[in-house]
Amino acid sequence: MTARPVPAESPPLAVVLPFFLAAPLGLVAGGVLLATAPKDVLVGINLPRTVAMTHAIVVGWASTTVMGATYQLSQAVLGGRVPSYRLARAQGLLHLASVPVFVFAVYRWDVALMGVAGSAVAASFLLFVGLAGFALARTRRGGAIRMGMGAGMAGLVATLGMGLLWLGALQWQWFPITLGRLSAHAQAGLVGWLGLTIMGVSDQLVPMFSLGKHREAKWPAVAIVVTATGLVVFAAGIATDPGRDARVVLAALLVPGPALWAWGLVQAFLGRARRRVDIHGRATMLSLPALGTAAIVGMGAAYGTPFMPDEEAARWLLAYGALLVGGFVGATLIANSLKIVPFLVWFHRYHRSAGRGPVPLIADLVNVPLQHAALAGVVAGTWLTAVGALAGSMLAVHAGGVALAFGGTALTAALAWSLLPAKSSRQPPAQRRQAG
Amino acid sequence: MEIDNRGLMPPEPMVRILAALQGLPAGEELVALMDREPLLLYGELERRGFAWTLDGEDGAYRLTVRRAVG
Repeated sequence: MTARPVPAESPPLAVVLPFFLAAPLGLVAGGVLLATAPKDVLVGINLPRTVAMTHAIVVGWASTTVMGATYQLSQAVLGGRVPSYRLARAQGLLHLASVPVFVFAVYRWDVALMGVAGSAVAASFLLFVGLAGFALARTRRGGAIRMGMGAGMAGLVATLGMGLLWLGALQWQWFPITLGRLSAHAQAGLVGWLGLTIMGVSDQLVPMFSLGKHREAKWPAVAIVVTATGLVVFAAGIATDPGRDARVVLAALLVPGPALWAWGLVQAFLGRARRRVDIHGRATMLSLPALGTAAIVGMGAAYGTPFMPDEEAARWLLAYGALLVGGFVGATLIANSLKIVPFLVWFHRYHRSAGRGPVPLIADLVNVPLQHAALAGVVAGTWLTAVGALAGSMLAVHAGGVALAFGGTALTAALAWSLLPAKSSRQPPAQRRQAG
Repeated sequence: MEIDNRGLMPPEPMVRILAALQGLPAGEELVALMDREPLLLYGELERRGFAWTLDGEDGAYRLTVRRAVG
């Protein structure tokens, strides 16, 4: 088939880069909150410090990173077009300003300030959905990446809606905020927004970076549909605070989709042409055991008593959150951020000079030890927190927080390293051979 | 002229193609074998006055580039 390819365009660096560079500070903040947490972090999952910590990491780090990646990928990979770069920059500024205030308000449990800052955060998310949704709707390429990103946006809207509704109920006493309703909001964000987006994006990026073959498009698409369907049923059911048996069934609905996706991802990775495993491959593969363990711990948390004493439920939920957010989402974000940002910087600085003289390559723009330090910090922090929570060990939980804060700091440094001036380590490669 | 960019990571395929095009004689074409479609290359080819077509599928692309007419 001979085709006239359709050019894609990378958004300006000033639109995308601030998201990636600022995001890890949310991880640092979450790590510090965990490292200095009192013992009640193992007693109640909805205490102010715990909620602040989870929002620092999920909204501050993970969501901010996904926003930047969405703007970049929807244009550069899918051929869409962000309708206004100025609005996208404004959305980024609003997000980066409002999230820290919101996290602080939650930490202090200042409901009025939570309402104001939470509304600003919601406005930032809604503006993002509008801009990125416009870009996605106009993409000229489809596949699982587009499906995953689109489904992720739907999950984001659901998460926002529930979050605002629960905030209103908290402020004006509309109805009680039960554990089930909070769980619906949390899973809509974790599985619906972050999980579905990652499932779609990984289906594109893992074969791209490891030079593997794309799977048949239908399998990742099936995994995304199964996950999304399970999530809708889960959220609707869990919000009614059902009994234990129903909770277990609902939780089980969240397993098949990610399991199918993970299996396909492993197959793609094993079939790769590039045998050497870099930071992207390592981080991606390390994310999968965390995902699997999170599923098991999550099922245990859903079962609750008599499987565990009442006072242990918060510990199982904390372990579940650490594994899913830090171990799965976090490792995946590290994998992709450390590929996307150096390439972005290279493209905007050097592509016009490429072929006309020596230009640095990606290897000249990265600091490999820093990259691995970031991954090691997040992976160690995740497992220390999870094991510490399950075992009831504050020493391990605090160590986990320190490791997460270290990982976030190293990640910021690794990403910022790409901005330093770089020299080309070699001349442009010679032509391989001439035809005829 | 043909170059084999298979197995190379971004941006090396782009750099090799643009370097090869620097010395491309008039009337000749460059054929590049690629693992991935070079989405961000096309705009730069257009800016430098080249036209292109793409054959193949994911994992086995063949990009043909020549100087644009007019």
